[in-house]
Amino acid sequence: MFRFILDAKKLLILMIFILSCSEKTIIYDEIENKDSTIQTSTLPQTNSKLFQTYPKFSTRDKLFFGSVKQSENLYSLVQMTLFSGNIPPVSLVDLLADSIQVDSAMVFFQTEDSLSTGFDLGLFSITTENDSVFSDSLNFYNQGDFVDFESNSFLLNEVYLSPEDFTPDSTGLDTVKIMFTEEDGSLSNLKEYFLDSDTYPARTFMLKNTGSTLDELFSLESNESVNGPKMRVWYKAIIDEQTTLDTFITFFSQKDVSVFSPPAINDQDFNYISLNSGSGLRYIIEFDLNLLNTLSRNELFKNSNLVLDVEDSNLLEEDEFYVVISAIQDSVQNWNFTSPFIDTSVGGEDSSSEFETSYTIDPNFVVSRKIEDNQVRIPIQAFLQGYKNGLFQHNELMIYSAPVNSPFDKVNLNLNTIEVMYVEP
Amino acid sequence: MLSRKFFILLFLTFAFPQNAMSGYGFGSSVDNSDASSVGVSNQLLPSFKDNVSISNPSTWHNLLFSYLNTSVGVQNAKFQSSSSTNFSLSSAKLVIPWKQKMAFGVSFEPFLSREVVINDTTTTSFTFNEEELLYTRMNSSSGGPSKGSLSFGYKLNDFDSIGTNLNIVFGSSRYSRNLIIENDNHLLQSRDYFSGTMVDLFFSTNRMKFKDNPIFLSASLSMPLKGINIENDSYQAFIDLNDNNYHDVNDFPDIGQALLPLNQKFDNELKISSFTFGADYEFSPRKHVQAEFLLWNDNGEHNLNSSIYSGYLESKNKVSLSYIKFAQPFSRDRYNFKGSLFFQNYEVKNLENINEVGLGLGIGFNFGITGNQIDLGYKLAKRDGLFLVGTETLHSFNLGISIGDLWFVKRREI
Repeated sequence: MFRFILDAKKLLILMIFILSCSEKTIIYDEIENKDSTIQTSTLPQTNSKLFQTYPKFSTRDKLFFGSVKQSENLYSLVQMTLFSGNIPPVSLVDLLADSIQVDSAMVFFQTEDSLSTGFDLGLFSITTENDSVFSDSLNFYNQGDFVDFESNSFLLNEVYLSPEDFTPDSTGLDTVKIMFTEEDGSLSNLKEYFLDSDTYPARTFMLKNTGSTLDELFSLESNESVNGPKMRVWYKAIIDEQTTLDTFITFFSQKDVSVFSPPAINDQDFNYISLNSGSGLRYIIEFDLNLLNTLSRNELFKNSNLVLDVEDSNLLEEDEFYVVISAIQDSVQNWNFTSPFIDTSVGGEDSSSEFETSYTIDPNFVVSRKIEDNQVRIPIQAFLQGYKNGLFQHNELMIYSAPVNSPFDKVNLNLNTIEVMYVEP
Repeated sequence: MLSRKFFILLFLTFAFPQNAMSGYGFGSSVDNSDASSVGVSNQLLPSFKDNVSISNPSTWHNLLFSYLNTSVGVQNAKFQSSSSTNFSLSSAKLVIPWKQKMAFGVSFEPFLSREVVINDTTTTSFTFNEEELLYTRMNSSSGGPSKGSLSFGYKLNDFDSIGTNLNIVFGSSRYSRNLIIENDNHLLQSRDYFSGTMVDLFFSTNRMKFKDNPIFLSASLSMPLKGINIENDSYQAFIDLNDNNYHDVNDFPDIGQALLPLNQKFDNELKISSFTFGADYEFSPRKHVQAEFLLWNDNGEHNLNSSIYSGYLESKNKVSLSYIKFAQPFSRDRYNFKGSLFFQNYEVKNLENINEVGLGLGIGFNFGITGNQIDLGYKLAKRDGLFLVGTETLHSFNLGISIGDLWFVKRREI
């Protein structure tokens, strides 16, 4: 009897399990119509601001030469290491010792670019008494804060770069070599104005086009690359009367910068959303978001885009330009044009606003889209939803050129009416 | 060990019957959860054994053995041109008589069912920025509170007996609204947690006779000890981008950027009381006619509006008339036959009242020396006045198995 009951229990458990797992749901049709299911609205723009911040040279850090798109690359600075290796001579100035006989030297750069027209590349040594003559923040606008590189430099050597030397090949890299020998007298200049780091401690080369204008962009690999600038010096070291060591030493670059004049900021730029990373032009829009305060907790934003039309640009047909839009962490106080390089203050203005030149990006909302068919559509529903949920405190969005864009590319955009759509399940 | 597994499984797989009334208020109440009473459409009057109703503790002292009773149900609902079928566990109950003087019981059964889905059958279009968007909506609720009961029955004298149930209401239900735009699910979800206690009092007597045949009378009064409180968690709407029906970091807004759920507590949302009176007349040996009358009332606050429809049941009345012929114990006559008619009227707040008329049929088969029983019940009901649906026809089949043994019963008592 007990066994029978046990079997019956097992059967019962199995039956319950099977039946319960096969549960279905009854479906009845037609929900009462509700007007607020999908709604749309327009977000009024209440304020805007064109401003200049510190120029960005883009993520493609190279040493640039040539003039393109109303920009001119003025010069590049490369600071070399003071020491190299472990066996004397280890420093630049050690090469000037009596026991060292410098035979020749070569400063060389590598490039991925080809060249259509030749130009003269001059290699200068910065001849100031300071050991640090530039920083990463050096740009066209703040050159005055640094030494006058033009008048504090000495031309060490010059080389003509011919288009034939830069033909694309399978390796992808070509080398620009600047030789220093006794025969042409260039080696003595190098020893006097560069290797003598006690007298000229900057150990900085300046490269610039010394010939006619180069109407194309040519670049050399920078310190960011493993193929960055290097200097090799061949020398003989006299060990004793019978022994002479014939060898070479290589010095590497440790920092560099290219200085260029970006597209000029002109009066027309103030009529548009003008973006250019080379000049640091950015834009901020403020919206009236009072609508969001009237919405219920469960309204969801959808299909809401910031639509920008290209009014004019210096983009070529094959150029890609990405527009970034982001929330900002601090509210804008001064809606006038501001710049860290131009005194934009007016009489009686609060001095604190004079320096309002950069705004911190809120990483919770950063969206980038490419310009296509002279228009860019950037979804902002995440910002609107975040603002509604209290994630963002400020009803302003910053628009700027993406770091991947060329610093020489500039676009002027028009903002269309912002139509937003929100739904409530 | 097997018993432990059995009860764990019970809690895991408990499901609810579904019908259009699940969309009213906090769901439809569950009547006749055990298969033996489906055929007679009543609760108080004998339907399990000659003098025992498995739903009436004041009759349990008449049992000779302990019984483990479990029922499962199959329900088919037809409305307009649609129909749907579902399966569920109806109830589980353990009844233990003691010296034919008193009885104890423990049971578990659904209390309210909220299992229903309504959706748009047509697609609506909306134009935005010269783009046409198509959308439909689907509202659904599921789950519902369950009821666990501790029961006690006591024989006062040869004629009268009393009983009581202490009912603990617990469990949760889910509510979801889905706006489907271009295959994107926009979900608004909430969850209701129920808690409350109720007590049922039973009195039964067979003092009266008619033509020397006994008339069995029974009455019950159900009332809340503590009204049913509901804790509502309302989650912020989101777009379920990964279609997993769950708000996570891949959805919009992602879970980290969404507002915390709103938690609201509503006291005394449901205060259900009822009075039931029934009479059973054994006009010839083992043949009975029965009548039962039910008054059901809900005086709850109903401040929380989380139902599919805007209306809820305020009260209902039910009358049932039934005939039953019991098997003769320890003979070849092993079958119980049952038949009944019932009429039920629901008074609905904010919406049209609902009328229900139904038919119940049942058969029971006794086997084994301990009076094991298999019950099969069938109920046909037609409801009029249902919101959106209009008329609905329900077919319910219930299968119950009752296994009797000497658990907790001293052998010498037999």
